[in-house]
Amino acid sequence: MSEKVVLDKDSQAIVDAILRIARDRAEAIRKEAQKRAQEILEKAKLEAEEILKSRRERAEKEVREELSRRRSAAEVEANQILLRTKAEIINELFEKVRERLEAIAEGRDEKWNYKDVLISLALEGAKALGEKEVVLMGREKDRKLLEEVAKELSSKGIRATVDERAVPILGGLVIRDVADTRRYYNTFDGRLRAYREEKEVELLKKLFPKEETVI
Amino acid sequence: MPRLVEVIMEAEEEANKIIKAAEEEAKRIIEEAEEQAKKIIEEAKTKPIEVARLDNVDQELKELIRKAEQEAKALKEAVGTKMEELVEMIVGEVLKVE
Repeated sequence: MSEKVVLDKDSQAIVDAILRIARDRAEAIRKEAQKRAQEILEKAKLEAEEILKSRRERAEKEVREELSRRRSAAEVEANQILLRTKAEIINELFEKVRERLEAIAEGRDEKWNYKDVLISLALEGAKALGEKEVVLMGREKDRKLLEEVAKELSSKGIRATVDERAVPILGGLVIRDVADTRRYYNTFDGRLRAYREEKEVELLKKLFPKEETVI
Repeated sequence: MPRLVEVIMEAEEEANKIIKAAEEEAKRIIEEAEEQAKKIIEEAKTKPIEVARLDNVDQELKELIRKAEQEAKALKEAVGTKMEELVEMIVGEVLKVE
């Protein structure tokens, strides 16, 4: 109101009523706005909680997956450590056996007579071939021994000679027929290889009775 | 009487101002709420999430490897005495003729 005017009682009542209605209306508008604002904030808070919940679940899932991956990798590594150790042990075992066979073939082992071993192997080979006459093949350094083995075979009814050709083997011999169409390999190398293929699992069980034996 | 009309018109004008001011205030209240709501949601999207730490797990996994290494060492030690017996046995079986 720009100018102070003295109103009569009725006019003042009308003016007061107009202003009161306006103020009431203004108050209602403000209250409605505050209510709406509150709703907006409540909705936003709920949405934020959902977002946080979802992010937390995703993060936890990622942590679980990472944990699982790390655990699996560690278990594989632990398993490989044991498997490598078992493989090393079995390799070491067969290396020792090979060294021992080498010593036998060199006549350095008191427990074994190499000539007797050769005689047994030659007889087995000749028997397997089923021939009355055989030829023995072996290392160059065993030639003299092979001659003696041949005599031993001849005394048992199997005519045997020694091949001029030598074979590069750890020990033992090869028995062939005269025509060289059939051979029987009774070398230390071959027998050891065959033994390992056949008995490795059994040996692992003996070496590691409390462990799983797969390598 | 014209004076009364004039006074009423002035009162209505004042009433309109009151209502308009309230409407503007209402608009501002809602806009502020919407702005704040945006901030709340943005914060929820970017706020760092705290999850279980993996330090302890690393320790646990290192322990798993350490145990395997210990077990491997124990295997080697346990085999030591059996090795010679097995060499003896295998040599006998390799050279055994039927």
